[in-house]
Amino acid sequence: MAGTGETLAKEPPPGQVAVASLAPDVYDSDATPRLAEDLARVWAHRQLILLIARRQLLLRYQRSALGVWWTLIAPSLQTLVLWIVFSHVFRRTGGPAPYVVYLLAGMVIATMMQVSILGVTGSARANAMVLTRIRIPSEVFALATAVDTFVSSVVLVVPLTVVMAATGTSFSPTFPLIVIPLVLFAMLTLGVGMTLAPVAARFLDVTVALTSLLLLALYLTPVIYPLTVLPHQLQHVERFNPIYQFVNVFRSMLYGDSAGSWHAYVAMLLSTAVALTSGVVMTRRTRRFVLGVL
Amino acid sequence: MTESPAAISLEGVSLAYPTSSSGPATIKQYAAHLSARRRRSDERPWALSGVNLSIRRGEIVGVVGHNGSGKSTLLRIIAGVLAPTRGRVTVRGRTTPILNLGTGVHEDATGRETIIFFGALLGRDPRLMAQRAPEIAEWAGLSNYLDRPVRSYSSGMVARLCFAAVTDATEEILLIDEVLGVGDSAFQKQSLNRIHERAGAGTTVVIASHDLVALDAHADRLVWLEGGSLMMVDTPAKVLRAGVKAEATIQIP
Repeated sequence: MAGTGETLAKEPPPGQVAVASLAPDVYDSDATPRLAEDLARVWAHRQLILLIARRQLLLRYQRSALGVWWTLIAPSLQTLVLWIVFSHVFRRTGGPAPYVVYLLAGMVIATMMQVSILGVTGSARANAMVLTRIRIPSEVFALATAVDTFVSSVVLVVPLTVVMAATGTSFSPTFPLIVIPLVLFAMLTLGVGMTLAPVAARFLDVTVALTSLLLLALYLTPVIYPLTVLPHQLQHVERFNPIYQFVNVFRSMLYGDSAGSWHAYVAMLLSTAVALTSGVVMTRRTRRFVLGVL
Repeated sequence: MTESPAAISLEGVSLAYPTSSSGPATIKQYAAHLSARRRRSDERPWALSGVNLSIRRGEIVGVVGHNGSGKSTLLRIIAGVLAPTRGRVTVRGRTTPILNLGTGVHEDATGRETIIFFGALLGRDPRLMAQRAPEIAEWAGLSNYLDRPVRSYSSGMVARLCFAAVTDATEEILLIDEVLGVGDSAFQKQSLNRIHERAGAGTTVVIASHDLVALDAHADRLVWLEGGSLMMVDTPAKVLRAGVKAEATIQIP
């Protein structure tokens, strides 16, 4: 381990193992770690991040009869309900795909937005028992939650492709590129969640209010309804909604005839960069405060 | 030959929690709290106050005092979880905290998964922990339960598994909070033997406990805290004598 201080020179007794711990060799409470040191600490915990994400995925429905399959079934059922309710209202989507494909594609992004932002926002509070006892960066739990919710959301692509095939919807040649908006959007939700997590650690109100705000964001974005049902002026306003840009590019890559416009990519990259920077700055500035209030 | 620097050094360490755990939880309560604080800005709840302490490598140090005296806070400050409001903490060596056996345990996970997860929380390689799991379970007397879910364990069994997993590796500093009473008397003896083994190998051990008999027998020095202030640091015999003499605060069970 590349440490800054001295380490024990003694070999461990037979039958025991010396371990590479992630804690620094010297801890000085007066030292303020630089950004690179903080990032290195988080990177050093990458195995733990994957372990926590896997554990959350596998153990969430452990005692249910269908187990981990609920990760796929639960959002599919939610989409089915929305399709039953809204398919009579929105028969035309203004694009090449039938409404069920249009809706399912939008729900992949919408599910990620709701589950990931709520999960990451509550991650510090949910893991308070560990964070207040072991010196682990809170970003570890935020990242693990983001990985877990990313997988939980992306798994919806499986029924989506089945429905596309069943309804005779043509797959766009850009289909493999859907990973770009999905990964970028996961990073955006991580940044938003990390920005809100310190406030949520202090005030329970934030999580409650956030649930309603995310529902509002869902209805303000053309996920369930086609953009064409909006008045012309509001359609123009939607171009400034970053979530819409992600949804639109994702749908275009699935079944459209283009991979999205350049200004959509600028909007996606910019909003992701702003959210991530905000999350990192907020987490670093409030680290001591959060541990004190948890 | 120059003396090596202390493994743990606290210089004038004080800690006031930003807000207590029983503090305001909603925005409305917080606004009222801020308003009240403006009127009484000096009234901060100090969990530790002006603590100076130096602990050498390989020492076993017990921390004693009443509930709320600051024992757990002291250990969390040494672990680097809490940063002091005033003063400075320097810890030389990798630290393994055993601050609450069962922290991070998922009841649906198996004993084997728990060992791997606990090790990963402490920065150990999951593959190494997977290899060590059978021996760890054997040491804890839980070989037959290794692949059973933790929800089928008693609280004592969970604590034994976690203690065995955490102390399996040789670390430089071991922080133990109120877990000397884990398991039956045979396991307690086994645990104390392991603590001595680790100290013999150079590990610095800090134990916060109410078990004064065990600390008297096993600690090199005792740190006596009351109300967040350091009352005395000396050999167990001297600290316990002073405690009894002060009529007070420390009572031998």
